[in-house]
Amino acid sequence: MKNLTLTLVFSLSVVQLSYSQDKYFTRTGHISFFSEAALENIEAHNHQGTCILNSENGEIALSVLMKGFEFEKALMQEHFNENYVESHKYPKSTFKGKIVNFDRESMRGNGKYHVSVEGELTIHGKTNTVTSEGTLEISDGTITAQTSFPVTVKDYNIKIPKTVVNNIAEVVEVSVELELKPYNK
Amino acid sequence: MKRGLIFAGIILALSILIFGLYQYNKPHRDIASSAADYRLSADELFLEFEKNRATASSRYVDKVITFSGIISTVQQNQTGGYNILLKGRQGSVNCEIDPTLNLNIENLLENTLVNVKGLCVGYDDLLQELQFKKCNIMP
Repeated sequence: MKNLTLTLVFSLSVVQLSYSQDKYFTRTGHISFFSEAALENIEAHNHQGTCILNSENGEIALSVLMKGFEFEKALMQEHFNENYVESHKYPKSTFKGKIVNFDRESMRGNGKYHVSVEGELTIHGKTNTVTSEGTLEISDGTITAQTSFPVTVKDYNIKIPKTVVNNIAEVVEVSVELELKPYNK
Repeated sequence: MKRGLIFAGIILALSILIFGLYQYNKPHRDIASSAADYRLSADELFLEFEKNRATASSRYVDKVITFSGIISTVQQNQTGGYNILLKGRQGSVNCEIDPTLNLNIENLLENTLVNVKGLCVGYDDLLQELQFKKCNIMP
């Protein structure tokens, strides 16, 4: 009987442990984008992307503040915030979705996996369903996630004036790099 | 008369070009050498954002703020820069250190009080944190 109680307590605490380990997060996600046009290439970086990944069901939530993007040139940054993404009106971009080919067991040990992600991407107040391919690398409790995908600016109601069509690409490549750690709160 | 007009035209075109080039290459805001618009504690700041997100955002976002708080973690980000996290009673403040400053990040200890000056980026709902960039550690 005593043994049974012990086993029960032990297995309950194991359940507890695995419950507290089911979320991974980062607050220093690297989100960048690259625009390649005839006259110039433009890139911008943000190192404060936040993300929560549920390692039980593969759900992902990502958020990034537009004002956090740093450009090489101050003028580009100003135009980006004031004219294109209107960050005073739409301060952040978000992604909510899940890993389509999610395998819960693969989260248990070290390894590198190819993943497909599907979900809702919101930029400039406009939401679209998107899919993307990426990798997850699990190494001693840290999950490194990487993906990149094209974003067509007009799909998000971002208007590029005719005068700068040679400076800004119609399709911008967005890259996401996340180093996720267990979330204990 | 005609020569005068052509000359004036050339001067005008040149000044437009120079102005344009200056605009195109104008420098980023120098946060490190600008004076703070506001001074308060991380807790006070966080409380204002909790109370009214919109009011606090229009008051503080894009402003240079000096704030004090307790260091919770010092973290290196994927591109080699550092983010320090201040933990208050209300929530946390994520401070991205200005990579051009060459600060001695290793000297910063967890659970110590620091003064940080940086540019307010905004509030992130997902992790309920305030974000600052181009941060410097103040005496």
